[in-house]
Amino acid sequence: MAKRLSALRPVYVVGVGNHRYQKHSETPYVTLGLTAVRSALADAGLVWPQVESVFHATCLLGMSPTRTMLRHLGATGIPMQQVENASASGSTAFRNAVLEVASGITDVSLALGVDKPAPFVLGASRNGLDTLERDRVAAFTHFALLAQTYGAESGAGPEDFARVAVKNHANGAKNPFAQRQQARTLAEVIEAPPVAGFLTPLQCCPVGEGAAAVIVASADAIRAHGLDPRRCPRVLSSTSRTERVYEPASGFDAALTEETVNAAYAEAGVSAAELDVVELHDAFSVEELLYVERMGLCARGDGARELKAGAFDIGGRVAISPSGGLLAMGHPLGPTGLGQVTEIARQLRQEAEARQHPGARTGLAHMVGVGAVCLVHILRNEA
Amino acid sequence: MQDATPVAHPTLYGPTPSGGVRIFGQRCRQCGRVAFPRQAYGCETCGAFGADLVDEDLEATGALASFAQVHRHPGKDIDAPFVMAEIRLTSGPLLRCTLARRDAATLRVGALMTGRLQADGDAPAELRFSQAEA
Ligand SMILES: [Zn+2]
Repeated sequence: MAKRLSALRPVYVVGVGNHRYQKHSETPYVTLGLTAVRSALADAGLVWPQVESVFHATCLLGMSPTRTMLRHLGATGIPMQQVENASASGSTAFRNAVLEVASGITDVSLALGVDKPAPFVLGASRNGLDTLERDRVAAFTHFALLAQTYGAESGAGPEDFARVAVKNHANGAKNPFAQRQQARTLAEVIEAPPVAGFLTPLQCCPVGEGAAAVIVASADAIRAHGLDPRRCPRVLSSTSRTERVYEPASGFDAALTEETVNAAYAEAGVSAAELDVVELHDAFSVEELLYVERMGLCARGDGARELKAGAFDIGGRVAISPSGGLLAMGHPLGPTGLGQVTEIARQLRQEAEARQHPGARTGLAHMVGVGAVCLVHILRNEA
Repeated sequence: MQDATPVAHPTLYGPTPSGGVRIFGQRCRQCGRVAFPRQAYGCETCGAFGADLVDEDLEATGALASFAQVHRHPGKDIDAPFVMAEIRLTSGPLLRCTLARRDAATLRVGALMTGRLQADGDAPAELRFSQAEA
């Protein structure tokens, strides 16, 4: 009989660490990764020999980069593996670590995202089938098509999409780990020459390099290692789904999000109204409007109006992407889903400093990835 | 018989004897799904394959579902600006394709679109959609 996460033993986030997301540089990936792991160990109050397994999210580092990075912490012989699931790689590594602790196989596991830009090939381009649009639909063009559809249905216009970028850049300006740490005005966002449809460059996420690390542990480990349970939010749900055949076909990102989030709410026993902070896949501005509606954070068609009224600001009804999101914190692929968890953990501990959403207790992390996949995690500080 | 007009994507579409264009789709005998492009791997709705997937030529007519004026494009050998569109064929499948025009002014979602083969110079003919004549 299949089980929900809630039927297994509880899993907690006990330590988080980051290497700032940044433009491609000469910094070796080893430096990025070790910075994030050492920071997460210090945050948790653990030492490396207490970590029992590693799931390393990376899309672009090449075959088997993990142990040759982490041996510099002391080669303890623990199991390590790479995890690739497109933009949701970090979320998938987190899920693997959570499930391993929940099952009782380990007491302390590390989910780590480290990536650097490099040329890549999408597997689907080798599927043996020609396409009409071959090589002509860049990611921003895909989301420009969705923005056009959303605008036609909801009446949203260029300023409505641009306001997502204004809010998320304001949040990113307060995040020391964000790639873009500069607040932007509506005019700055909207008056730049567009890349496709409604989308201007500041409405498209930067893809750079960086690292994010999350250590998860059992209640036994929290007791055994003397950790402070008030700093250890619990993982209430972990859901992972893939695209089905939807009508209309072009809206799959939103439809897949809706069914994955609904599965997460059911597993966690949490409703949309209970969420205080949400980190979602805002690689392009239109996505935030699509997803807040499908997550039930506002009524269908009301996303732009609620955003303008401040409902999704830090201090609003529910803070959406207080980290700056993919638009400002950045999207270095492997780390991204884990960077969301580092932000939510800090928010739920009330340790997010200038970005703190007052009283944050329950948070949700959401990623989609090309293919398409969707992963959602819900965390709560039960202390 | 089919004439010899070379086309850019010979597995996706071809000329009709009357000078029009047919799109190479397929129908699933098990669930009725009409799909594009034609492939033998299996039906995305029900998993049927082999003899259950039968060729069906689709008419190049449909409704404009979405469009985007592309101002910049990162791929090589592809010059922006162009207009990427989604067209819901009358027979069901949703296509993504480049429009005949290079600017999106006056386009509207829901407009009736028709496709034809269009050759620039000596290049193979491409399927290009335009707004149908009123
Ligand atoms: Zn079928």
